[in-house]
Amino acid sequence: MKGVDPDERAGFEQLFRETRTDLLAYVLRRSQSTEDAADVLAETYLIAWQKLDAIPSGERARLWLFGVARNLLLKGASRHRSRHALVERLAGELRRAHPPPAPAEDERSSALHVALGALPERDREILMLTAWEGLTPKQIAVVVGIPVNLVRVRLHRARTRLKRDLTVPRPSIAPRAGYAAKRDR
Amino acid sequence: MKRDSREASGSLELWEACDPVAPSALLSEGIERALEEIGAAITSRPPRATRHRSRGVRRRVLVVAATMLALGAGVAAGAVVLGAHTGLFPTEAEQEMGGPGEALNPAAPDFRAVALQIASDIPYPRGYASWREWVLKTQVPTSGVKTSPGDSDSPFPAGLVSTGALHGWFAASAYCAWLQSWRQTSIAGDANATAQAAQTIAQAPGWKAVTDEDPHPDPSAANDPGAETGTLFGWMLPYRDAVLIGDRARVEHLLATGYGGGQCWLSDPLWMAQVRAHGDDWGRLSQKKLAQKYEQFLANGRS
Repeated sequence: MKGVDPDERAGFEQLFRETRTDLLAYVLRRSQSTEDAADVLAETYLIAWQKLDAIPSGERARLWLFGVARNLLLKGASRHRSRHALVERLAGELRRAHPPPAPAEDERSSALHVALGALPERDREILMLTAWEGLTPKQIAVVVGIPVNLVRVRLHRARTRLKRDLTVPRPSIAPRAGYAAKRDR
Repeated sequence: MKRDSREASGSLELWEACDPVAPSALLSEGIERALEEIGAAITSRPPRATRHRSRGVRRRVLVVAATMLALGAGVAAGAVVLGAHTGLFPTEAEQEMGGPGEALNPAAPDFRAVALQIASDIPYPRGYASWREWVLKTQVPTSGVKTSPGDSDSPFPAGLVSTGALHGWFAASAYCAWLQSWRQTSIAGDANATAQAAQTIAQAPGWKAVTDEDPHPDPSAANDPGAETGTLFGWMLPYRDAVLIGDRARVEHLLATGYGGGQCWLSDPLWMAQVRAHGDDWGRLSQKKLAQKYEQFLANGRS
């Protein structure tokens, strides 16, 4: 294709291969449906392709992609979802390979879901990035675009609250919408 | 603070086990093939799409979002030189995470001047100018400034910071400085300086920097019961109340226990220098033992 530096193309393709599973897991955990997850994933890489010069090098490229995906997820229902056949196909594959999670089987897991659902969205996101994406506070700061010390404070508070909610009996609270527990209902 | 992390780690491990996504399930042949096709479809398009207003609101929104993320990265890499003012304002959701106001680029050459201008309405007590500098150095470091010893050589994450968040960081820092000043002048028997510090501390919850982010500071706000200190600046009030009744022991206790998410520890350059100098030795201490260290630090005149 005219105008595409072969090295740039190779670099993007390598980034795509190295990050796509992590990014897919990231968006799948936060999407209401496999269609939404597939759409956000495709849109994220399309933005990356169109902003090649803006992608940082090294490990920060992965975090940059998380940040772009996060912004798309924040748009939520206001986004116009693509109906591209390839996106639909990925969504179908996801449904086959990754069925909706079974309800929590034990009391503690159930209590954890309730406690998580009761967390403020901003704190839950930081906990999710820590526990599920395995990111450090410094990496989370890149993804969510806030100072690292603020991440640490919020993480500390969220952990404290989670610990308290799991040790102190509380009335049941329905989990908030917006993360994968509600996926594919 | 590290102790809390360890205590709660069991909950986090349980949460890890509750991950709704099994990454290994995403490696199926069908998913891999579908991803390959999406990747091929993307790279079949022209890269670096030009921005046309006619492409619609959605595209412009996405470009802005991507640009906001990309700006810092580009500057950090030395590829772009722009001013601290970006003219970009966060969405409501982004405000929730990052504070209100314009997004500033910490890596811009004029960022320090812009930041100090923003902080110009926040008073610091005499002798605490270094605390203001400490905010700039630690909360919003620019390219090449390490956040702590042992960090990798990579510069501070390429994020933007809102004017509201920055203003708030200065407010928290100055408030902690006034608490130290109140304590020191109280010990020294300087009644005038103590009264001035108390007056400033009493007014601080009403500073614009505070109310912009937290219109009603409350240490036990019901809308955020998980936060040990209520709303964002709710932690200020127990300190203020203790100061207003002249309860120095109470103020020292709050300081020593890091009440307020450790804000007054993080704001104190001398204390943080000690913490960092002791590295892992102190990092392994329980919160109680670290609080004892801080009490000793206070007793030694913060040295």
